Amino acid sequence: MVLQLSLVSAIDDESYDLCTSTLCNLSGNPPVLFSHFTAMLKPNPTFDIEQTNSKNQLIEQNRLKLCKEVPLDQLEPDGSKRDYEMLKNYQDDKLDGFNLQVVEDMLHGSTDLDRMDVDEAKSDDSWILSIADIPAAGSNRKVSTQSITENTILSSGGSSPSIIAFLSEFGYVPDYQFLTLGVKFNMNHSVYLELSKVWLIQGGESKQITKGGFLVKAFVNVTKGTDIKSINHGTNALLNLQKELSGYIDLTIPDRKSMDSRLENLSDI
Amino acid sequence: MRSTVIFVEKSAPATITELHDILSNDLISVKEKWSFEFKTFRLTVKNLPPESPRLMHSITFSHRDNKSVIVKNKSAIVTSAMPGSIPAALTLNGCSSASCESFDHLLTSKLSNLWTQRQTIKGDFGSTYQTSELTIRATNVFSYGGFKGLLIELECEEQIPDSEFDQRINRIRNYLRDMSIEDYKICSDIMDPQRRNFLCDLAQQYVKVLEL
Repeated sequence: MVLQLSLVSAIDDESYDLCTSTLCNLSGNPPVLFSHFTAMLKPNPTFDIEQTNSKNQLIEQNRLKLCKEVPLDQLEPDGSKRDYEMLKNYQDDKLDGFNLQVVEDMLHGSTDLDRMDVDEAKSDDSWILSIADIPAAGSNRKVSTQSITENTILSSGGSSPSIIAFLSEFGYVPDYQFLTLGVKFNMNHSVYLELSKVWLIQGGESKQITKGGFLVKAFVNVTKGTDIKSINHGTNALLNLQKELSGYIDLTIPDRKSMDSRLENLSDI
Repeated sequence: MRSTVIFVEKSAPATITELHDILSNDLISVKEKWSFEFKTFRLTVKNLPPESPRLMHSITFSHRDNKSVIVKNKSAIVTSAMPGSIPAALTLNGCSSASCESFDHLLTSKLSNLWTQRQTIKGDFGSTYQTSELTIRATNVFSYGGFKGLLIELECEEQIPDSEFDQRINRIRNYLRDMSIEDYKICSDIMDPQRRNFLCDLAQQYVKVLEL
């Protein structure tokens, strides 16, 4: 179980250039371009699921998160051009160059047997499966603290080898999907800072939900939830960054409710 | 790569020594010790149609990088809890925080309202024998401390025709007959011949022979 400490903010599209160069100078490292596709799953709504387990403990229904990388080398074969500047081309709903069908196929497994042989789709079948708790409560918190349980899925098999086929046997069905494209800065004291844009993906269509700007997220991952020393260290590192950037990017604690992945919470999101 | 799993319920803890003796003429080497863990989970959903299966199995293999396979109704996934096995592309693109837990842990800690653990079957400290034809792994199987039987996993890493593989398996079955073991469960099934996944098929074979 990893504990994620985080602070968030936002910048507008026009500030992107200045912001990246400022952060680049501050961190001493160039930004790293990243992209991932995320599918959120919910318990099968036709199932009558107990709220308690066999020990009579209350277990609330939670969404599952599936996440995998989107290969950017297909998007821009020239490695030297594949940098943070690329993000400026993506200001509206359209995701030029991304084959959304391929992205969604990753989830359902290719049904075309011939194509699978050619593409060696098997090697590209790994996903991260995770469940996040609602962030810790309390009015005197300085950063958001959320625990995340994570598992690596390396491949799927069986009569219809796809991650979705297995998870539907497991009791979960797809809820919504999104694609994230962004840059990551490796700041000091194991703090990461991400500037990203997010698109909702549905039926081959994309809709940007960060239109006009970028989501800014600064975070520290603490591997052990009981490691108080690392938690304090991470919190202080985040607060120092918050102080350093204050007046320029105002990092704040994200709304606890919007970080809640429990099922009953749907209307609040 | 092909595999077959045999489970001899009517055996004694000493049967594995007999097997070792009878194999000794064919042995090239005796290799590492191995173990596995087999867990059964039951879906607690009340309103499922009566014919739909409720059981799911998770099998962890110590001798295959501690990978676990989760099988339910001919659908399977291979998972890993080893931080070193997370593909680099996933970590670099921010999908993973590079800390990783077992799928069983996810089930018991976060999804115990949906899945309840029923039983655990373990094979600990089994033997691995290498012959010119097969890798033979044998272990005594225990459930909650009680002896359950002898499990034999046969693996062929070479690419050989199915008929040749069957012959090699039959040679082992003849040895079992020589030990006057006639009553056992055996499974060589492949879930989908067109899309083979060695570990998933192996796990399904474990399920078939161990499921009571």
